[in-house]
Amino acid sequence: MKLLLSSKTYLFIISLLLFIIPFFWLKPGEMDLGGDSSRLYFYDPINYLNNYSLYNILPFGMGLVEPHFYSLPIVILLSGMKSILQSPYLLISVFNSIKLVVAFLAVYGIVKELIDKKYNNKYFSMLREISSVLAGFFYILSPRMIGNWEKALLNHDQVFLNPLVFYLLLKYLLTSNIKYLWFILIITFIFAHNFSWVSAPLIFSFYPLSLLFLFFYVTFIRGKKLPWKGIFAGILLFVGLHSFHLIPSVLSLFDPGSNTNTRVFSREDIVHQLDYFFGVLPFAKVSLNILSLPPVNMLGFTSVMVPLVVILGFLLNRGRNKTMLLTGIFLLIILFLLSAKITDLGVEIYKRLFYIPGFSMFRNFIGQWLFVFSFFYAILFGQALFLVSSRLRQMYAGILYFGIGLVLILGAWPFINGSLVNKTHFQSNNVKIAMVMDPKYKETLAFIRSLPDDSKILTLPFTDPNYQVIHGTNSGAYVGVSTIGYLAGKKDFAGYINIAPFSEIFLKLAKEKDYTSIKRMLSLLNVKYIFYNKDPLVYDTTFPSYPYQHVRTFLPSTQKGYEDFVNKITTKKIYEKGQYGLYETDEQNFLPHFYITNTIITYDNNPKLHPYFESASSFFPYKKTSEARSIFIEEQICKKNFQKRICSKEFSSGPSDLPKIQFEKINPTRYRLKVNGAKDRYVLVFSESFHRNWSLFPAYTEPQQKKTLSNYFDGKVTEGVHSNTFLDESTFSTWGKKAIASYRHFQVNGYANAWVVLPEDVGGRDSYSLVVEMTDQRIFYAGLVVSLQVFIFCMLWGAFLFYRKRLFGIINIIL
Amino acid sequence: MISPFTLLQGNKKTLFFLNIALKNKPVLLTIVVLAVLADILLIPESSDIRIFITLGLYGISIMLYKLAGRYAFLFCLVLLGIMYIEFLFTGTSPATEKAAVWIFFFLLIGIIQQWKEE
Repeated sequence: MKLLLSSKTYLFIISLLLFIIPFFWLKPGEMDLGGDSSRLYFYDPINYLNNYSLYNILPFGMGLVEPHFYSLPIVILLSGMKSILQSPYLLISVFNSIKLVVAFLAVYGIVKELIDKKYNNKYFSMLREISSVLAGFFYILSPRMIGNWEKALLNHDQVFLNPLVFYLLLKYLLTSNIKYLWFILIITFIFAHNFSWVSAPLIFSFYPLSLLFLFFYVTFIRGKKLPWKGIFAGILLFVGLHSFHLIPSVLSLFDPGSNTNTRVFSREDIVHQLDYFFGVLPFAKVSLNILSLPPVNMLGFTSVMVPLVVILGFLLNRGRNKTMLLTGIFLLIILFLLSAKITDLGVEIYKRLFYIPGFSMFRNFIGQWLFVFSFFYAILFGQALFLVSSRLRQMYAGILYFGIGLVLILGAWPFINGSLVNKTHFQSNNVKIAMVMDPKYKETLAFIRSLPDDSKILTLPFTDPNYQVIHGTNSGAYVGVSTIGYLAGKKDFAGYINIAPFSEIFLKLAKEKDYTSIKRMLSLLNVKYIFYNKDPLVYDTTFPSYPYQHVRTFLPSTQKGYEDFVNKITTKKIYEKGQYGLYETDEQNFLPHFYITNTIITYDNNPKLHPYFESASSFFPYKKTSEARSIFIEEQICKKNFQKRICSKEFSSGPSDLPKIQFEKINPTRYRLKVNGAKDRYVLVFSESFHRNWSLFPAYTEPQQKKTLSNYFDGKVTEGVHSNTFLDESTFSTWGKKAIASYRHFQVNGYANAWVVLPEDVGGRDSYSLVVEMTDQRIFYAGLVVSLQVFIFCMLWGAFLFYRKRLFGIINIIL
Repeated sequence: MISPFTLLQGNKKTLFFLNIALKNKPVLLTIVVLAVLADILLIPESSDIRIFITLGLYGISIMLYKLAGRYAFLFCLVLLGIMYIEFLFTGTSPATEKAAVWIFFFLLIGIIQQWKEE
């Protein structure tokens, strides 16, 4: 009996039950992999790591440069777990279980710590326990928290990380026990994605307010001194641990023209962010935030329960419990930020906040503040519930607890039974999110991965976003970012957004059935293969609208039409497995990843065109050329890099003058080139998204691979054997060396890199090797070294902290 | 401690009104309550001026009558009831939203008052 009453026992039982629940959300074999950034790391973490986490080049489209190293620790952890568990279903379920259990326990721990301990008898201790448990339940089962578990992105981990870090910080500040600090550091490292620039809105919505709360609570309410030395040491170690993703992100923040820089500092962008803010504003409802409306219609009347308990708690707060008042003030601040509509003056003040650099990250303020509000609401609810129940007779308190517990569980029943998690895809004909991967698609991915050449793929059916639809062998489907880039390591164009600046022209050409121009366009984009999924379940019958709504009006509207379309723009089918086929485009038209141009065609940018999706229409397809290796260059850029006479007309240096090149990929940020017979200047083109930090270095080591894969243009361009080597002895060979032709590096074909290489750049030689490198990747290598050193230090420190006695024992024995 | 009377010393007109207000506590409080209820239930448009004048009146009432924080919370309970009923029947209508905004302000007032109370 005593065992049953012990808090550890019932906490264990509750945790066990919560841990089991997510295993029933999906059936064995099913996976929820979809979403904006996808959850493909659950399906194939190793390939996700190799193609995405290790490099700052996006693995799809033209290969935009964007630092996203934050996912590295979690993907490594998942790779390890996957090798043990084998099944993505188990991996997803375990992670969901961890979220639920840790979130519950952390909120329980916080509320138990915050509730006034002056009521110290056995009865009040029991009330404190139950109030804390119900606060934990309210946090994980509240309507705000249960509606966003499907297609959850990595940073959804805030569900448990917010309360966990808060709890550990609270304990550390109260006890100064360094072990709590150690745990915080290790947790932030493992879940680095939640402490990276991509999670900035979540970090800045939760941590500043939480730290302020903890400061007031510990200093003024508990009257304790803050362990400043430990705090500063913790901050230093935190920065050290997170160097691998923080340094590239901070540099990207101060890099003029980068996405991050524009979003944070551009005043012009503020107007767009304000438009977004006013777009979200009508959805903000103060009343819905105060009430707690469960998804079960029948229980709508219970929505008043939580605010009622909170207000009653304040009313009965005769002892003027300052902790509860402090929590209340913070909750109201967050309610203001979450609702934005507390009077017109409130909206005006909110609007002004957008002029603070960085505040625009809160343009989708509902999504950003929801989790923070739920957290503070839960801890206030727990404290208020304790106050209310402590004024009631034992029997009434029991009824109150039972009623609240029942309402919380019944209200969250659609979440507990999984129907809120395994939803139907948006605008689909009853296609579920949970899918069982078709083994034939798995084989197809393996085939694509094994393709030896370094070229790109067009993925069909084409979508509006950069999405791919794969129907499972059950009634579910994957609708998310293209798996080909992330898992097969071949950059692909799967949707309107990532084929920019050719988005509009591609649709126009498809509508006009101008197949010749489409082939030419694909060639400019370095597309050698077309992946086509002919499954009617991904287009015809089941997805009548999203994610094809816009493009369907231009491209074939049925799979039958798509088959004709594919046949028209390809030459042969090289692979077929079930519904999945891989086709090759016209080899004569194909432009490899690297080539040397023989024709320069200038054009003027048409300012009427959309600068992102339409700008290629300034030159394509109306600037006709019979020479495949032509480059299109904006006239101003041309005049900066070439003589005026070259830019005033079409220019040809004659095919016989061009040097021969052989290229091989070392990894997505590094390529090796061998140039032969370069007697004069030439223009080297690299069909990858333009970025000024793609640099050209002379390399004095010969390419290691002697074997060649393919020849183009009568052997003028040769593809060597490609690899994906993250680190080897040559990785740092260009460090400290000066890049060549960096002042003659410019954009061509609307997106690609090109350099004018002069004989004097390479010491007048005509045969030599070059390395093309994305130098931003170096920052990651340097940051990674720092992070690894600090991580090893933390591990040793942890071993010392937790096994100090044993260590001293061993030392004593040795001595 | 500066009282409102100290601040308004020398202003005979104001002192006269204050005197009247002091003698008519139920009237002033009824005006505040009715103003809030009318704003929620009778007036379709929202107005910041109305809200802040009403809150100002309640602030004066707190100073004049030394109202405890629990009155603000009691009024919150009433407002919660109104918001809840409005929500059940009209959903997130303007009236429900207005009631929610009033709850926000009275909770804030109550918390600040309770913080100051010993």
